[in-house]
Amino acid sequence: MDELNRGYGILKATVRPLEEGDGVNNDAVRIPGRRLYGYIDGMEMEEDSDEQRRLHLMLYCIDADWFDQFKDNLSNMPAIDTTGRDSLACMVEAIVRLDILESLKEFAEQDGEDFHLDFEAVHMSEGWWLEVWVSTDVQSVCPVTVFPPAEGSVDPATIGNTGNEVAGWLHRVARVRPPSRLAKLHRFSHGGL
Amino acid sequence: MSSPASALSNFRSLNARAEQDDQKREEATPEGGVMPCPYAKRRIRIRIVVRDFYFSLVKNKRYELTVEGEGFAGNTGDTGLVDHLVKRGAKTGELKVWFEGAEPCVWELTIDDIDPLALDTGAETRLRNLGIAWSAEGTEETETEAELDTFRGAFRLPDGDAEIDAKTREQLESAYSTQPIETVRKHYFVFESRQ
Repeated sequence: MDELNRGYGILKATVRPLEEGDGVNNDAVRIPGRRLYGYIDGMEMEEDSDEQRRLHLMLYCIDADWFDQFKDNLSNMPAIDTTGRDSLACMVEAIVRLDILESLKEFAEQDGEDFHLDFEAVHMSEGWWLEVWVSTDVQSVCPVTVFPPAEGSVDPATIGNTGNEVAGWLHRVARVRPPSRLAKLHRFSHGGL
Repeated sequence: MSSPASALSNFRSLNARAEQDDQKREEATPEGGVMPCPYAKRRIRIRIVVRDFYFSLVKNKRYELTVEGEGFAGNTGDTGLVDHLVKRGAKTGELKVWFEGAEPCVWELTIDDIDPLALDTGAETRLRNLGIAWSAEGTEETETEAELDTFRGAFRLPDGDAEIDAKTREQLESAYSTQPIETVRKHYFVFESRQ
């Protein structure tokens, strides 16, 4: 069983009651990615056996939608009802070859798109938080290993390696905005409410 | 002008015919019931385009649609479309789509009218269906802005504020069509710094 596939949360959509002969109007739904906040537990540059340089990232991730429900302080955390919603908390391990990142950067620059790959930047360092999108359905050029929580776990704040792992793909990495949210995440990771 | 006798005869004839019609109607109608409106027997149509994370059509994937206990199964075909006639008056449903994994993506469906796209309320409902606005209630302005920028970014529209502008509405309309739409999918994986 694909452990993470059950963890999209409750997807909801409103569709219209169209008339029988109406073949023009449509409604739409979209398979989401998992938007997570990832704590950088480990980040290093390394070389593989072919002397290819690669970036090795280990992220401890929590469900971003769940975390965003909290107000300025985290004191209401136990009050949030997560019944029926499996935890998205997971570890994500990414090993990305630098030459792939470089080519992506070239593509992005050609199209005039943002591509920030500055490992000296403060948001790319151990102990910091990132906003990441991970999918176990849609492939990207960045495969990752996802370590989901124990089956049936509904505690969104418990992250750990249970020995389960599934293939996933990393789609996007962004700084956490606004700064107040980042501060809240730092309090969360330091155990302060 | 017709004579009184002739008028009376015509009236009797019309009355007899009306009584016959009434009798036929009573025979066809349950006791105390009313004739069902033939229009009410018609079913309503649900047409849902399924798109993936990058707004590409989810083609040729298995699905199951359940509406008020009535089940439909099929394949999204080349247009990523789920299209069925369901019971009139249905209020809820469930859609399962088997994408890549063994487990399906599942949507809880509310069957209800949606405001026109030109209205903000209509645009917001459509965005929520696409997973763009994460929360209907309590969403801070900055979050709405960020989510809208996610949508705009997928279509290379310039970032904006929390207002849903005309170009965003246009792209939203295209996302609801069965036509392929071009997004920034080719980059797949972006390290991004939201400034």
